[in-house]
Amino acid sequence: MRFSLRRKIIAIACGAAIIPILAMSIITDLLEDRLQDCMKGEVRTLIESHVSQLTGDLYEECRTADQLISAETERAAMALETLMEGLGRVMIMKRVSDWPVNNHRAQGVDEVTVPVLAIGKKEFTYAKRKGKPLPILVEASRISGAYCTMFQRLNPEGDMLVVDTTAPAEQLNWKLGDIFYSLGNDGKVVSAIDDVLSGRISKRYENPDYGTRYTIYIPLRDQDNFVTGMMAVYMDDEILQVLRKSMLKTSIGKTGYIWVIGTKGESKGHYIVSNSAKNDGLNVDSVGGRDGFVHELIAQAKEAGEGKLSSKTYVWRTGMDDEGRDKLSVFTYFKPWGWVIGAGVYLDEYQGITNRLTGVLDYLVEWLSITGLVLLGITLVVSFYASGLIATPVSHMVDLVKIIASGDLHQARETIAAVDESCPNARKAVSNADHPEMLDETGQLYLAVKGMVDNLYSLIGQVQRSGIQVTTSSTEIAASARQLEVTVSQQATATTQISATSAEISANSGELAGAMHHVNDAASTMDNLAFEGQDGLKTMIRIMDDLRGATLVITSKLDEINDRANAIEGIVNTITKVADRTNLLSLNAAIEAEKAGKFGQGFSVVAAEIRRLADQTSVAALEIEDMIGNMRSSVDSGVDEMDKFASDVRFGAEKAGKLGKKLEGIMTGVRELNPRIEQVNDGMTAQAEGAGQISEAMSQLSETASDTSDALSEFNRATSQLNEAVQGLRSEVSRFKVSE
Amino acid sequence: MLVLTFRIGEYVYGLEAGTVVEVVPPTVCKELPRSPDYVKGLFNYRGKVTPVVDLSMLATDVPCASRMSTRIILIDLADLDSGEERGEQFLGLLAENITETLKVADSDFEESGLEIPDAPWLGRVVRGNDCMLQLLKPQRLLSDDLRKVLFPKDDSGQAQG
Repeated sequence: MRFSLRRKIIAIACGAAIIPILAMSIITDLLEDRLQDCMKGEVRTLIESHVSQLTGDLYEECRTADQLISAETERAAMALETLMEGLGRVMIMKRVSDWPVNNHRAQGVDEVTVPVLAIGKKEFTYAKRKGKPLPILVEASRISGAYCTMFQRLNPEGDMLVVDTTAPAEQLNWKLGDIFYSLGNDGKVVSAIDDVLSGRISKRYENPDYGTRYTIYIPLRDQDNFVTGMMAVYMDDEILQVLRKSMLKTSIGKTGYIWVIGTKGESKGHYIVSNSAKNDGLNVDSVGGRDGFVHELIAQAKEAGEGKLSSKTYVWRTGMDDEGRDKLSVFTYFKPWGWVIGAGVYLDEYQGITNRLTGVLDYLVEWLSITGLVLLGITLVVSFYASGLIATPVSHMVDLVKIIASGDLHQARETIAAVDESCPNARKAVSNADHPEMLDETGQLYLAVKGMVDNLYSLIGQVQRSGIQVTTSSTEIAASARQLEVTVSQQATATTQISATSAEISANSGELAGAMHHVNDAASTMDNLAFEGQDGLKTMIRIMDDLRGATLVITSKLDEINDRANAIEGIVNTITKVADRTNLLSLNAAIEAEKAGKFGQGFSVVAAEIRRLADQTSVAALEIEDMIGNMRSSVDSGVDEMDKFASDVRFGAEKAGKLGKKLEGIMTGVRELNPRIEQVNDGMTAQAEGAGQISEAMSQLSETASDTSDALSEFNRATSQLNEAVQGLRSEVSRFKVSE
Repeated sequence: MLVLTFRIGEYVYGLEAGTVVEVVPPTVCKELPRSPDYVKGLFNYRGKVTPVVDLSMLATDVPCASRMSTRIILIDLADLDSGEERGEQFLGLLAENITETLKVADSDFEESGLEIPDAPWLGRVVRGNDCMLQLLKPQRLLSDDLRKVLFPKDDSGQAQG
């Protein structure tokens, strides 16, 4: 079966939808187990801590009760002792009295006769004390809440007879006529009596049934300081009863309870407190149906030590047929009373919590499955649609590419046109061709393929056209090559002509060399002539220098004359001014004379004479001025002439100098001409040789031209090969159809 | 009578020597702005501010050439009117070629026979050997208006007299 693109896409989508759900389910399953374990552990810890707390509290409670009892007892004992001392001295009378004995060890004996014990005036005889304890003792008991029992010593061993008591006549209390033997039933010395006999006050726990009675024994001494009896004081067990009741009432969880087991005497391994009062005093092993269990328990508690908590989990049966339930107990050892105090709960009561948790997890798994199915459904629909979107264009594209591969570009273009019309995705791609960022990959692929077909179409068309062009060009090249061939042969002919010409040049060069020899002769003659000319010129320059000196002297003389003329002119000016003044004076004189009338006539003649002199002076001055002016103009023109002459002389000297240099130049030139001419001769010879070499080169050129001709025929061959290649290319390209 | 001769243009004119105070060389004149062209200006004659009239300018509208013989003839206008003291109203007349005096008989003078309105100062004429000499009438040289401007003080004096 072909696994098409569409199926692949659907498979991937479904896989993507299912796998997370499956993974979730597996993880949830794994988590459930771990969660349950964890919860159990946590619940267990919680229970244990709770029970431990309770046990601890119980232990404290017991200890408090114990301290309370011992303190009360001691206080009562002290009060009684004081009371006794107040009564008077203890004495043993001569008289005797008979006492009925309740527990004589000798078989059949039920009476003893002892001397009467008296304290002060109070005597303790059976007759007096029977049913009527000493009133003062009764009073004291009532006040202190403690019971008091008086003992009388029977024998040196220390057996004690109860001679008075305030305790009610119960099984556990001493009664009149009871003997407290100094040796116990097990044959050991009773420590209390031993202490009293040695004169000490004894404080100890008696254990008539629970082992918890705190009793103080005080020795009584007679006048001889002999211990003749003792007094026992112990509290009413009211406190203990209250404690037990409270323990009984305490329940833990639904069915859990507090238990106390004794470890001493008769109560060892027996219940002191349990879930009900009816079990009191029963053997624990018999109740739980397990042998040796209680010993394990006690051993563990004692090993842990006073007040230290221990815990134990075990199966507890309430009867022999019972299957038993898992139980957890926390317990501790209370030494003073020899009690093991414990609190126990049944673990199955806490099963509900874990069950609820499991239920929630199951619910989660169920919902996960449903969600998975729904997701799968949605994914199937969506992937079916999406795969259509992707796969259809791709299949179009595959068809198109197949057509392109077959080379039928024309059909490919028609197919593209058809796809443009039929496929909406293609239409969208074409319309959005200017915005490639808005297109998906298939759209871009479609556009790319379309572009490729167009480009290929134009490329193939171009190649086909180019093939034709190349063919034409190669034909043209061949023609050009043929033309070149003709040119080369022409060149060969030209080369031959050049060879001939160069030979001619060689011959001409020889003739030219002869001509140059004649030129050389003429040049040396010219050199001589120029030397003579130079001598003459030097003489001329010297004369001119002299002339210039003389000119300068003349010029300076003329300047001097000019200065003199200037001086004369100044003097003439003065004379003119004087004449003018004189004229003016004579005028005024004439006027004044006229005004004087007849008296002024003589004076007017004088004035006229003066004016005439002045006029003459003026005329003379005018003439001198004219002369000076003429002289000066002559001098000025003389100076000008001299200047001109001097500059002429200078000019002539310069010209002569230049001429001399030129002659020198000519001489040098002529002298230099000689070696040049020889160089020309050499050059001619070299040229002749060069012409010969040119001839040789030309023949080589001819050879090269024939080589070129060969190369051209090679080139022609290559051109025809190119033509063939182009024909091959054209036939190959014609495989692509660009038109019908 | 003695005549002091001078030239205006090419022609010779004369003044009676009796009317002449003195002939002095030309000096620098201070010009009078907005005065007629022929009034050359003011100069200091022996400590007295004296107006100068260019005769050449007055007659021919051509100023006198600067020559040695060009001099200033000082006349006293007050002297021309009878009853006035001399040396009161000096007037300078600038003219060319003032070098000669001429003795002429009074009878030789003739009236010119012409009365030119713009030149009322032309006077009698005498014929010489080769030229003609015309006397000037110095008292008519200045118009009345100008005279009032140049000599205001005397006018006021006359009004009082």
